[in-house]
Amino acid sequence: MESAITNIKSRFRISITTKEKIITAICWLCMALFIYTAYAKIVDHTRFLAGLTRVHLISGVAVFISYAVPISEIIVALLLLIPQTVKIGLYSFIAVMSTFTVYIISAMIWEPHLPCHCGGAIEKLSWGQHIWFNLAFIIIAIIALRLMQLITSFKNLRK
Amino acid sequence: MKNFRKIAFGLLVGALALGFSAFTSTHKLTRNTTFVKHAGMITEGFIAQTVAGNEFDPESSVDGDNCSDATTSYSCTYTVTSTGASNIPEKSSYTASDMNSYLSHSPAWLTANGSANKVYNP
Repeated sequence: MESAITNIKSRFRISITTKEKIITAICWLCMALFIYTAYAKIVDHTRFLAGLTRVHLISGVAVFISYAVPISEIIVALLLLIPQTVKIGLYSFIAVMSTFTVYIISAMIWEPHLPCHCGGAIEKLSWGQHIWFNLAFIIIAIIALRLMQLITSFKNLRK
Repeated sequence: MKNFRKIAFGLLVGALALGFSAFTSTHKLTRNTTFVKHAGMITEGFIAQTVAGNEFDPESSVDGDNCSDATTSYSCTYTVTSTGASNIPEKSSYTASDMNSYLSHSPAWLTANGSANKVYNP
Protein backbone atom coordinates (compact mmCIF):
# COMPACT_ATOMS: atom_id res chain seq x y z
CA MET A 1 0.00 0.00 0.00
CA GLU A 2 2.81 2.33 1.02
CA SER A 3 4.76 1.55 -2.14
CA ALA A 4 1.66 2.27 -4.23
CA ILE A 5 1.38 5.73 -2.65
CA THR A 6 5.09 6.32 -3.26
CA ASN A 7 4.62 5.29 -6.90
CA ILE A 8 1.76 7.74 -7.34
CA LYS A 9 3.80 10.49 -5.64
CA SER A 10 6.81 9.87 -7.87
CA ARG A 11 4.60 9.85 -10.96
CA PHE A 12 3.37 13.37 -10.16
CA ARG A 13 6.77 14.66 -9.04
CA ILE A 14 8.05 17.41 -11.32
CA SER A 15 11.70 17.38 -12.29
CA ILE A 16 13.93 20.36 -11.44
CA THR A 17 14.27 21.25 -15.13
CA THR A 18 10.48 21.38 -15.51
CA LYS A 19 10.18 23.46 -12.35
CA GLU A 20 12.75 25.92 -13.71
CA LYS A 21 10.89 26.09 -17.01
CA ILE A 22 7.61 26.80 -15.19
CA ILE A 23 9.30 29.56 -13.13
CA THR A 24 10.75 31.15 -16.29
CA ALA A 25 7.38 30.99 -18.06
CA ILE A 26 5.63 32.62 -15.08
CA CYS A 27 8.30 35.34 -14.91
CA TRP A 28 7.93 36.10 -18.61
CA LEU A 29 4.15 36.19 -18.31
CA CYS A 30 4.31 38.63 -15.38
CA MET A 31 6.95 40.70 -17.17
CA ALA A 32 4.87 40.82 -20.38
CA LEU A 33 1.83 42.01 -18.38
CA PHE A 34 3.75 44.87 -16.79
CA ILE A 35 5.47 45.93 -20.02
CA TYR A 36 2.10 45.83 -21.80
CA THR A 37 0.31 47.99 -19.23
CA ALA A 38 3.26 50.36 -18.60
CA TYR A 39 3.55 51.10 -22.33
CA ALA A 40 -0.17 51.91 -22.57
CA LYS A 41 0.09 54.24 -19.55
CA ILE A 42 3.14 56.07 -20.90
CA VAL A 43 1.85 56.46 -24.46
CA ASP A 44 -1.49 57.93 -23.27
CA HIS A 45 -0.24 59.55 -20.08
CA THR A 46 -2.66 62.50 -20.25
CA ARG A 47 -5.62 60.16 -20.31
CA PHE A 48 -4.20 58.02 -17.49
CA LEU A 49 -3.63 61.12 -15.35
CA ALA A 50 -7.13 62.45 -16.11
CA GLY A 51 -8.59 59.10 -15.00
CA LEU A 52 -6.64 59.12 -11.73
CA THR A 53 -7.67 62.72 -11.02
CA ARG A 54 -11.31 61.64 -11.14
CA VAL A 55 -10.84 59.05 -8.37
CA HIS A 56 -11.41 61.02 -5.18
CA LEU A 57 -9.41 58.57 -3.06
CA ILE A 58 -6.15 59.41 -4.83
CA SER A 59 -6.86 62.69 -6.66
CA GLY A 60 -4.42 64.56 -4.36
CA VAL A 61 -1.46 62.43 -5.43
CA ALA A 62 -2.67 61.64 -8.95
CA VAL A 63 0.34 63.25 -10.68
CA PHE A 64 2.82 61.31 -8.53
CA ILE A 65 0.93 58.02 -9.05
CA SER A 66 0.66 58.62 -12.80
CA TYR A 67 4.49 58.51 -13.00
CA ALA A 68 5.18 56.09 -10.14
CA VAL A 69 2.95 53.28 -11.46
CA PRO A 70 4.47 52.87 -14.96
CA ILE A 71 8.02 53.41 -13.59
CA SER A 72 7.57 50.74 -10.90
CA GLU A 73 6.03 48.40 -13.50
CA ILE A 74 9.12 48.81 -15.72
CA ILE A 75 11.48 48.27 -12.75
CA VAL A 76 9.64 45.07 -11.72
CA ALA A 77 9.68 43.86 -15.36
CA LEU A 78 13.47 44.39 -15.48
CA LEU A 79 13.90 42.52 -12.17
CA LEU A 80 11.91 39.61 -13.62
CA LEU A 81 14.03 39.64 -16.77
CA ILE A 82 17.43 39.31 -15.05
CA PRO A 83 17.90 35.72 -13.70
CA GLN A 84 19.81 36.92 -10.59
CA THR A 85 16.95 39.22 -9.51
CA VAL A 86 13.99 36.97 -10.38
CA LYS A 87 13.17 36.22 -6.73
CA ILE A 88 13.07 39.88 -5.68
CA GLY A 89 11.18 40.60 -8.91
CA LEU A 90 8.48 38.08 -8.02
CA TYR A 91 8.16 39.51 -4.50
CA SER A 92 7.89 43.03 -5.97
CA PHE A 93 5.36 41.81 -8.54
CA ILE A 94 3.18 40.33 -5.79
CA ALA A 95 3.50 43.55 -3.75
CA VAL A 96 2.54 45.79 -6.70
CA MET A 97 -0.35 43.56 -7.81
CA SER A 98 -1.63 43.33 -4.23
CA THR A 99 -1.54 47.13 -3.98
CA PHE A 100 -3.57 47.41 -7.22
CA THR A 101 -6.07 44.85 -5.93
CA VAL A 102 -6.49 46.65 -2.58
CA TYR A 103 -6.96 49.92 -4.50
CA ILE A 104 -9.62 48.36 -6.74
CA ILE A 105 -11.49 46.88 -3.77
CA SER A 106 -11.42 50.18 -1.82
CA ALA A 107 -12.44 52.12 -4.95
CA MET A 108 -15.35 49.70 -5.47
CA ILE A 109 -16.46 50.34 -1.90
CA TRP A 110 -16.02 54.11 -1.66
CA GLU A 111 -16.06 55.51 -5.20
CA PRO A 112 -19.42 56.31 -6.85
CA HIS A 113 -17.89 56.29 -10.33
CA LEU A 114 -15.00 54.04 -11.31
CA PRO A 115 -12.86 55.02 -14.26
CA CYS A 116 -10.33 52.36 -15.34
CA HIS A 117 -7.17 53.51 -17.06
CA CYS A 118 -5.17 50.35 -16.54
CA GLY A 119 -3.93 50.31 -20.09
CA GLY A 120 -4.67 48.37 -23.26
CA ALA A 121 -7.18 45.56 -23.53
CA ILE A 122 -7.29 45.11 -19.71
CA GLU A 123 -9.48 48.23 -19.56
CA LYS A 124 -12.30 46.19 -21.11
CA LEU A 125 -12.56 44.05 -17.96
CA SER A 126 -15.21 44.85 -15.38
CA TRP A 127 -13.99 45.69 -11.88
CA GLY A 128 -14.99 42.26 -10.56
CA GLN A 129 -13.15 40.55 -13.41
CA HIS A 130 -10.20 42.84 -12.72
CA ILE A 131 -9.92 41.56 -9.15
CA TRP A 132 -9.99 37.92 -10.32
CA PHE A 133 -7.43 38.74 -13.02
CA ASN A 134 -5.07 40.29 -10.44
CA LEU A 135 -5.60 37.41 -7.99
CA ALA A 136 -4.77 34.87 -10.71
CA PHE A 137 -1.47 36.64 -11.40
CA ILE A 138 -0.68 36.90 -7.68
CA ILE A 139 -1.32 33.15 -7.29
CA ILE A 140 0.92 32.16 -10.21
CA ALA A 141 3.69 34.43 -8.85
CA ILE A 142 3.34 32.69 -5.45
CA ILE A 143 3.53 29.30 -7.23
CA ALA A 144 6.78 30.41 -8.93
CA LEU A 145 8.24 31.47 -5.56
CA ARG A 146 7.21 28.16 -3.97
CA LEU A 147 8.85 26.24 -6.82
CA MET A 148 12.02 28.29 -6.33
CA GLN A 149 12.02 27.39 -2.63
CA LEU A 150 11.59 23.69 -3.49
CA ILE A 151 14.53 23.82 -5.91
CA THR A 152 16.72 25.58 -3.32
CA SER A 153 15.86 23.08 -0.56
CA PHE A 154 16.45 20.14 -2.95
CA LYS A 155 19.86 21.52 -3.93
CA ASN A 156 20.73 22.04 -0.24
CA LEU A 157 19.78 18.44 0.54
CA ARG A 158 22.06 17.13 -2.20
CA LYS A 159 25.06 19.05 -0.80
CA MET B 1 25.46 31.26 -21.51
CA LYS B 2 22.23 29.89 -20.03
CA ASN B 3 21.54 33.24 -18.38
CA PHE B 4 22.31 35.10 -21.59
CA ARG B 5 19.81 32.95 -23.47
CA LYS B 6 17.21 33.50 -20.76
CA ILE B 7 17.64 37.28 -20.95
CA ALA B 8 17.51 37.21 -24.75
CA PHE B 9 14.24 35.25 -24.72
CA GLY B 10 12.91 37.50 -21.98
CA LEU B 11 13.66 40.54 -24.11
CA LEU B 12 11.84 38.88 -27.00
CA VAL B 13 8.78 38.32 -24.81
CA GLY B 14 9.00 41.96 -23.66
CA ALA B 15 9.20 43.17 -27.25
CA LEU B 16 6.15 41.08 -28.15
CA ALA B 17 4.23 42.58 -25.21
CA LEU B 18 5.26 46.06 -26.31
CA GLY B 19 4.15 45.41 -29.87
CA PHE B 20 0.85 43.97 -28.73
CA SER B 21 0.30 46.96 -26.43
CA ALA B 22 0.88 49.34 -29.34
CA PHE B 23 -1.99 47.61 -31.14
CA THR B 24 -4.53 47.50 -28.33
CA SER B 25 -3.79 50.95 -26.90
CA THR B 26 -5.03 52.60 -30.10
CA HIS B 27 -8.44 54.15 -29.64
CA LYS B 28 -11.15 53.10 -32.03
CA LEU B 29 -12.54 56.60 -32.35
CA THR B 30 -10.23 59.49 -31.71
CA ARG B 31 -11.25 62.85 -32.93
CA ASN B 32 -8.38 65.26 -32.98
CA THR B 33 -9.13 68.74 -31.81
CA THR B 34 -7.37 71.65 -33.38
CA PHE B 35 -8.66 74.42 -31.13
CA VAL B 36 -6.36 76.90 -29.46
CA LYS B 37 -5.97 76.21 -25.73
CA HIS B 38 -6.32 79.16 -23.38
CA ALA B 39 -4.97 79.30 -19.83
CA GLY B 40 -7.57 78.05 -17.35
CA MET B 41 -9.81 76.77 -20.14
CA ILE B 42 -10.67 73.16 -20.97
CA THR B 43 -7.73 71.26 -22.44
CA GLU B 44 -9.60 68.09 -23.45
CA GLY B 45 -11.49 67.77 -26.72
CA PHE B 46 -14.54 65.97 -25.33
CA ILE B 47 -16.92 65.88 -22.38
CA ALA B 48 -18.52 62.51 -21.59
CA GLN B 49 -21.54 61.74 -19.40
CA THR B 50 -20.08 59.29 -16.87
CA VAL B 51 -22.94 59.28 -14.34
CA ALA B 52 -26.45 59.61 -15.84
CA GLY B 53 -27.51 63.29 -15.57
CA ASN B 54 -25.10 63.85 -12.71
CA GLU B 55 -21.46 63.87 -13.74
CA PHE B 56 -19.75 64.88 -16.97
CA ASP B 57 -16.00 64.36 -17.30
CA PRO B 58 -13.51 65.84 -19.76
CA GLU B 59 -11.87 63.25 -22.05
CA SER B 60 -8.96 63.51 -24.47
CA SER B 61 -10.55 60.87 -26.70
CA VAL B 62 -13.80 58.92 -26.75
CA ASP B 63 -14.83 55.49 -27.94
CA GLY B 64 -18.40 55.05 -29.20
CA ASP B 65 -18.35 51.40 -28.04
CA ASN B 66 -18.22 52.58 -24.42
CA CYS B 67 -21.72 54.13 -24.51
CA SER B 68 -24.53 52.21 -22.84
CA ASP B 69 -28.26 52.91 -22.51
CA ALA B 70 -29.45 54.91 -19.50
CA THR B 71 -32.33 57.07 -18.35
CA THR B 72 -31.01 60.52 -19.14
CA SER B 73 -31.66 63.35 -21.53
CA TYR B 74 -27.99 63.96 -22.29
CA SER B 75 -25.80 62.46 -24.99
CA CYS B 76 -23.05 60.00 -24.20
CA THR B 77 -20.26 62.32 -25.40
CA TYR B 78 -19.91 65.90 -26.59
CA THR B 79 -17.19 67.41 -28.75
CA VAL B 80 -15.86 70.74 -27.49
CA THR B 81 -16.03 73.31 -30.30
CA SER B 82 -13.34 75.98 -30.78
CA THR B 83 -15.70 78.52 -29.14
CA GLY B 84 -16.27 76.10 -26.27
CA ALA B 85 -12.51 75.64 -25.84
CA SER B 86 -12.18 79.39 -25.25
CA ASN B 87 -15.08 79.55 -22.79
CA ILE B 88 -15.45 76.28 -20.88
CA PRO B 89 -13.31 76.37 -17.72
CA GLU B 90 -10.91 73.54 -16.90
CA LYS B 91 -12.54 71.29 -14.27
CA SER B 92 -12.12 67.68 -13.20
CA SER B 93 -15.87 67.16 -13.76
CA TYR B 94 -18.96 69.15 -14.74
CA THR B 95 -22.49 69.14 -13.32
CA ALA B 96 -25.78 69.00 -15.22
CA SER B 97 -26.31 72.74 -14.68
CA ASP B 98 -22.83 73.43 -16.11
CA MET B 99 -23.75 71.35 -19.15
CA ASN B 100 -27.13 73.08 -19.58
CA SER B 101 -25.33 76.41 -19.55
CA TYR B 102 -22.68 75.30 -22.08
CA LEU B 103 -25.28 73.71 -24.37
CA SER B 104 -27.45 76.85 -24.44
CA HIS B 105 -24.86 79.06 -26.17
CA SER B 106 -24.82 80.13 -29.76
CA PRO B 107 -22.49 79.54 -31.55
CA ALA B 108 -22.37 76.13 -29.90
CA TRP B 109 -19.78 75.38 -27.22
CA LEU B 110 -20.50 71.67 -27.42
CA THR B 111 -21.82 69.39 -30.16
CA ALA B 112 -23.49 66.11 -29.21
CA ASN B 113 -22.03 62.88 -30.62
CA GLY B 114 -24.75 60.36 -31.42
CA SER B 115 -28.14 60.02 -29.76
CA ALA B 116 -29.19 60.93 -26.24
CA ASN B 117 -29.92 58.55 -23.32
CA LYS B 118 -26.47 57.06 -23.15
CA VAL B 119 -23.80 56.93 -20.46
CA TYR B 120 -20.07 56.71 -21.06
CA ASN B 121 -18.22 53.86 -19.31
CA PRO B 122 -14.51 54.33 -19.96
